[in-house]
Amino acid sequence: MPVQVDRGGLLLGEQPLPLLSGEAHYWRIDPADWPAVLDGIASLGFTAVSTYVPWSRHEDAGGALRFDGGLDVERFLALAAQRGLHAVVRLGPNCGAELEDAGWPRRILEDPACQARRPGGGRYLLPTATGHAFMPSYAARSTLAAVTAWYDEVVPRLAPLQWPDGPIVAAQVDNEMGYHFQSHAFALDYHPDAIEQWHEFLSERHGEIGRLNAAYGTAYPAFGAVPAPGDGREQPLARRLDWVRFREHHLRRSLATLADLVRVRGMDRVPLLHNDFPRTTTPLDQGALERSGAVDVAGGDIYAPKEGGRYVRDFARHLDTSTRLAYLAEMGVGWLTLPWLLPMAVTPLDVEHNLWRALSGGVRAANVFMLVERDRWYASPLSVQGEPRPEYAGLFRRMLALLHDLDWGTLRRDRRVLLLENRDEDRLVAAGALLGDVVPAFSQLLPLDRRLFDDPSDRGSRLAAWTRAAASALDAAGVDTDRASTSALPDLTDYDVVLLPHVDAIDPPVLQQLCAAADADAGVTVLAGPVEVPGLTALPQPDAASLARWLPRPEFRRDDALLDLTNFTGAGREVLVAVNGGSAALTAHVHTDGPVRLIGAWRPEELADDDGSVIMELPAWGVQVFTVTRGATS
Amino acid sequence: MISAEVRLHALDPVEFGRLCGLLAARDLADAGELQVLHSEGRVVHAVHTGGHPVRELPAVVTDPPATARALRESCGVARVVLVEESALRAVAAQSAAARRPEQSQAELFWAARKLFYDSPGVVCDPAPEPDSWVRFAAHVRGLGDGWSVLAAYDGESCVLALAGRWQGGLLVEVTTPPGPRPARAQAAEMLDAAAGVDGPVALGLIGDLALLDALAAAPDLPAAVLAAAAHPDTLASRGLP
Repeated sequence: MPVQVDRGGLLLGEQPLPLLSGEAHYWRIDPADWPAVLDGIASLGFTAVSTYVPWSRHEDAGGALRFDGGLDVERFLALAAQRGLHAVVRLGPNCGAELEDAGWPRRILEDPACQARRPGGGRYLLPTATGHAFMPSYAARSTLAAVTAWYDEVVPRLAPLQWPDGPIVAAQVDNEMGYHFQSHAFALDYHPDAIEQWHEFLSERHGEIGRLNAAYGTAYPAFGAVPAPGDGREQPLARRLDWVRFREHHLRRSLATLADLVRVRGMDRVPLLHNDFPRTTTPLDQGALERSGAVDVAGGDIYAPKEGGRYVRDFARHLDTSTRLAYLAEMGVGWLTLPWLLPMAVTPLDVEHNLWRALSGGVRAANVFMLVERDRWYASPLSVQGEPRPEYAGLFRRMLALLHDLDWGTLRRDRRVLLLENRDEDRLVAAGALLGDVVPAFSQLLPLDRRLFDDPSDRGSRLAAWTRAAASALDAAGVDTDRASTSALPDLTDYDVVLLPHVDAIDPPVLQQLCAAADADAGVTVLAGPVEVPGLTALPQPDAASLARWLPRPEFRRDDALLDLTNFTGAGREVLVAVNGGSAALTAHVHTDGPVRLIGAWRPEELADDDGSVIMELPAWGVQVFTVTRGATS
Repeated sequence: MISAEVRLHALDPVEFGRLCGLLAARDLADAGELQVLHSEGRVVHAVHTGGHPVRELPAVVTDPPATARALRESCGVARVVLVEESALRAVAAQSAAARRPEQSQAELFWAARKLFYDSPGVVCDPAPEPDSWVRFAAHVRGLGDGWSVLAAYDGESCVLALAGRWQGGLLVEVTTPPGPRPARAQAAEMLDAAAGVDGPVALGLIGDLALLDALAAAPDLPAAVLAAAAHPDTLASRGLP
């Protein structure tokens, strides 16, 4: 494939390309303004423009597809290429994008044969940005036939624009595929075609019906007779767990199906991407998705104010650990303009703080969503005419220039601790969820807290408390930490310490890997809790004291836990990112071994000391990036 | 009350962000509900919406109104909601069956809310307040098609302005009005051509920033807006009772 994925971005032939793009929706911009908008994007230093190609906007009332005038995506991409911009095209079918139909033609959403089903056959109603719709089933043959017809038209049209013949360097398949924001294990999808896939899954998993019956304690005559569970109180547990696993499998299978359709129609010279909303637990699994080969890059989307900065960082760490290119397909800048549904204030400080949070978590490729203002969005760096808003645009110009100067894609976090999510425990918690036929998409449809439909046992809360305590202790100690799911383990020998949340579930092959790593020769300490695991070191209650004896000494140590320091090395350089995670200015003592000079790269500043002790000052929510020089300072 | 095709464009990011910030702060002021799911009287699960642990929960609900009352007193929450499982299933099915594609999103939510609270299997203590947005929407519909303007002054300067266009009782357009901002003494001009919108302003509220703060903090936002004409921080209004 001419365009390859590299840990630092993309490779166009042998030439590295940092994938730093900005989202602009051509169909929401006056075509007369396309040149100015693309000029604006290029002027800020972005390497690419990203856009959805929304099916529902290209299909007219008569069902014909149009690509003229304001829908002339090929012209838009050609203009991008003229300005030296590459392109990422997001082909759907699902788009979101604050569209009232989420990018699906209304005829699909209202077609009973296409609609996703609840247990019992009911349809799944989702409030969209401004409306509401019954969402489609990805298993339904009718849906797939319709999507195929869309791809039949749009993919051959865009395929000739793939690099090196055009600007397209990546294509995204679907968008945030995850049961339409419904993580409840028993809400979706019970469409007859999905149930057929469920039976195929059981057959592949168990081999023959006798083995399934032995595992379940049942006497089903055939796989086709095994009902899909609809509630966490149904027995046996083994059937519910299989359903939870099936939901993960179904997402990967659906994405693989769509990706194959795209590749076969000619989009086969560039990597295929996907993006999850910011959830790493079942049914989503970024690491397993990439390893399945369904897509080339499993990325994620994140939107948060600065107060959610650690959440951004931790999601970035998960992507950095679990995927080949830590990619934020949507790095939220600005917010949707629906304060009656999801109000969020966005300021330049929010943007600056969270961009660096993402980068300090290991993100090396990102798409700013939305770089260009459009209907139903505010606080974008460029107006809909392409004019820069100084308070935002200047930030990106500086940041992209700095990332280029630092050759950011070659830098790696210095991390020797891994905090795992236990996928088996996660599945057990999911398998206890209640009332799949009732749980709403959002509480506006049913004025009940969605947690009322969660597993009533305390397993989830015990695991969450242990993980929170571990994360908090690691943050207090200033230790950079990788994050991954046990379903997609990284190389455990890369770490000094691995932490595993555990009550009573762990996949035997995973346990085998953890025990092998914990073997004295491998040199990894594997800590498990709140309930101990034979073969691993028990950690019933993670806190600073109980972890201190195992944690590696950070390269840079500080006396204020609100100061996050992330050390990067690569290509003979060392970079330190300092983030103040609090709402007050801070002054902290920072220590490293030996003489050091820290040169401010984000703000002018120089700190130096022959004993390696400096004083760092940051404003509220402030960020600094230092290049690090070791050795005598005078 | 919002059209599915509503257009939100040319919004000043600072001003709109400020408004979003006020509205986002409202979400943090949850008084807390204790919601209890029971199946033929046997308690299945309970959640405190404020995230507090749930204690002192009976295993069985034999007299829902009495249980709800007792729980509200013992748990110190703003409301207790007891939901019987089979009733919940019926409500969910009724909601799905009642949905019409042409309903606005708000109408869908109001209808779902009404079905839920009207269900005999749902017992609340105290009973929920009627949704004031329904009254607000009816009031706006009664004003006819036209624009609405919201503006706030910080001292002499107008620091926030938002204009919305209504058609058939639905909000179809929202934008930052392009017109010049008059000085505080002439704030009422924002209700006329000075707002820069291309039509009559049927609904308007202009006040000091303190007015927005008060509205954002009001437990019943739409009721507070409808009563805002008499608020001491209001400089001018139109179309309000």
